Amino acid sequence: MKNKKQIFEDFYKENKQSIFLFTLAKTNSREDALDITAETFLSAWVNLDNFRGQSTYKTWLFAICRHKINDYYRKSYKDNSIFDHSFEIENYNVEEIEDNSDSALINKFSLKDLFSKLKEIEKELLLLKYMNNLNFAECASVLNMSETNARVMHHRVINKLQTFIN
Amino acid sequence: MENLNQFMNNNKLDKNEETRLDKIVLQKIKPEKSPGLGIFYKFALTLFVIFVVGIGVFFLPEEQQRKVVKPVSAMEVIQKTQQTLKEMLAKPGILHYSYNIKTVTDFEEYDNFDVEGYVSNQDEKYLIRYDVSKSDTLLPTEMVPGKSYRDFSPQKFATFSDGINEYSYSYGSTSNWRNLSEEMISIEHRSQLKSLVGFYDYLLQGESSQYKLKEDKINNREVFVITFTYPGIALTREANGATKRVETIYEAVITIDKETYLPISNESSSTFSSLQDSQIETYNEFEIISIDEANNIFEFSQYIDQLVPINKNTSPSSSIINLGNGKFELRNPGEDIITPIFSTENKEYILDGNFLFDKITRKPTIIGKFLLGKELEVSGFTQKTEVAEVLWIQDINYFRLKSLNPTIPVQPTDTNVMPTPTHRLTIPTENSYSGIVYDSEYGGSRREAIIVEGTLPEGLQNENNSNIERASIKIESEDMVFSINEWYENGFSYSNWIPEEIDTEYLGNILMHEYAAKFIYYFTDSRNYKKSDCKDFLGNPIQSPCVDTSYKFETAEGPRFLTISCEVKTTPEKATKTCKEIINNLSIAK
Repeated sequence: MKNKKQIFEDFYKENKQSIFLFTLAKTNSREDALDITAETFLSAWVNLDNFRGQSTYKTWLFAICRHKINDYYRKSYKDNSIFDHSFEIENYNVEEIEDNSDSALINKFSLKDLFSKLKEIEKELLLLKYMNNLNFAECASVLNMSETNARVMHHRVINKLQTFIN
Repeated sequence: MENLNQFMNNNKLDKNEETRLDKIVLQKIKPEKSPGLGIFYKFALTLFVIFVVGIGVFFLPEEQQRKVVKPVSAMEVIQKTQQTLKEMLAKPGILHYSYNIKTVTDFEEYDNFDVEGYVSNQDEKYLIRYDVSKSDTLLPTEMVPGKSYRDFSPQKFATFSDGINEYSYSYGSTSNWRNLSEEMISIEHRSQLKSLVGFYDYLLQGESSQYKLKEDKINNREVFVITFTYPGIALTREANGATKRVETIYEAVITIDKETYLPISNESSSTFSSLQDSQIETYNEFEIISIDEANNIFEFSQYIDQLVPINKNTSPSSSIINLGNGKFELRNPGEDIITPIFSTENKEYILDGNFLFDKITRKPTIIGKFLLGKELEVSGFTQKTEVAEVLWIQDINYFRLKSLNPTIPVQPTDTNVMPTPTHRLTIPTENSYSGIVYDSEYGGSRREAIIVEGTLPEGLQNENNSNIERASIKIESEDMVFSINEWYENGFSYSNWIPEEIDTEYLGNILMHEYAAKFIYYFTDSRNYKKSDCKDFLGNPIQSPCVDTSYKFETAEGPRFLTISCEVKTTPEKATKTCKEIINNLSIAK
């Protein structure tokens, strides 16, 4: 039977890339993302015994990560947006839009352009859903909202992106 | 430029980074004790305890043996829990505790406070940290298909003392400190836990027959569950948005860990009809920790580094006085700036926040919830400020509290039909007419949204309404201008509270801004009216409400003011009539 340390190590190995990419997308700094990723896992380790099983380990980890990113912005007073908000609609590929999936739609935009159109929480929702394959219930758990709200928000974001394409 | 997929493929941790990360994370993970050994110890200990207890019971007199197996009463459980908590507070070291408070009312789907606190048991140091999140509150959007939501970003607050000064920290806002007297620091020290101890004190004043006790298993924990009912006061919202206080029956559920006799949760919920009013405190941790562990959990430097000393007010030291009997009440219930009051026969004191009222959550503590509207005897410090006499409660005498379980349901009584004012409020009325303009200001430093609704007389034109920035309504005709403008005192800290630009070029559309002010506007197809496109902000068609002349102006939550005015221009008689009609048809609710 695996002990706590072994379980955590497996958990760490499985999720370190996802947490790093999520953080990198939010901070746009590899160094900061590396630090925050480390802090996230260390916090998770310290608090592992307190994990109450109300969410999955993965959503719990993302929730911790989110707090760590907020701490990062608070400490450094950085503007919580990684790219300038220039309007660059020309980056999408019109032909590809015929692939009707939401994921395809999102990938029509450059990340910079995508983020310039979205609110912080909307960005997080997309990153969790499309970068980390969390389902709506899991996204909702990380973002501290109801599943319905996550679905509504997602619907709005997709509609919003669709209007840019149209 | 990278899209999301490309970003994911191109930006993974490289070998070097991965090694660095592994080094940081994996090397800091402390090796666990051998699980086999742990199990062996646990097993041996369990056998030993069973043996000792068994032998002990065997040799007890018959009467004592019965006592050992006799089920405990609710009173005993409460008493023992209180005792355990007091013992935790007496142990040397740092007591770390964490809990969650969730409130659900008719006003908000929920308010959620994750609280982590520590108290040093050797001196008067303490820290309480709150992570606050709110529900995406449902708005009364009966005119819009589906529902719309507000977005609340999480906020962080902390208050802590190094034993000499008390500091407060609020994320994105200001940080300050105040120099308190020794006695005041002493009152603040452990105030949350004192409140909890006081809560058990309060319960112990009841009759044991009022409490029902059952044993249960929740999340694999053996627990005691104590239930009872009590009369309390709740706040609800009428269909028109006005607030109403009602007396109602609450049901309380107290859950205590059977093994440790530490609190697990305290829940209080209204049982009256469809009224929503509940408060749940869930305690997650009570542990004695080292200073290194405390630093790890609380990251003190992040608060201390950002402190900006302002308003150094040394509070005069004073002795404890007995204020006698009075009632704990709330001023402006339903507003964000709820003021807790202790009112005696002759005088009214504002509570500083300890014991009955939590100054950071701005809500009554669980015991405050029980004691709201009830007569109490308190003692404490009073401190005069420029605007009020502030009371720091040091002790409460629960002797007068007896009735916890009325059998006759209390009928709701309407005591408040208008939104209670904050520090500045003038609803425009006919009387506010100065001969040129109906002018008023409404608002204050609360955080609730303000909603202004009304109807417009026929014939108003909608020119000059384009490209208005920030939240405003401007209806201009040849002879009058009606406007609502939103403004802020001393600027803003929270970026998501700053209204985004509102483009009213297309009046008739429903213009809606999720983070910021919501501006919903309808026009009919009559003469002088611009035809409504009847589309929502996403361009989806809206049905019936589009043939309405009503307007609705809704701010985002946050401290703010509205200036509402109707100015008469060229044809006084007609314009006055129009303005009067608008003003009389206007209502403000939140």
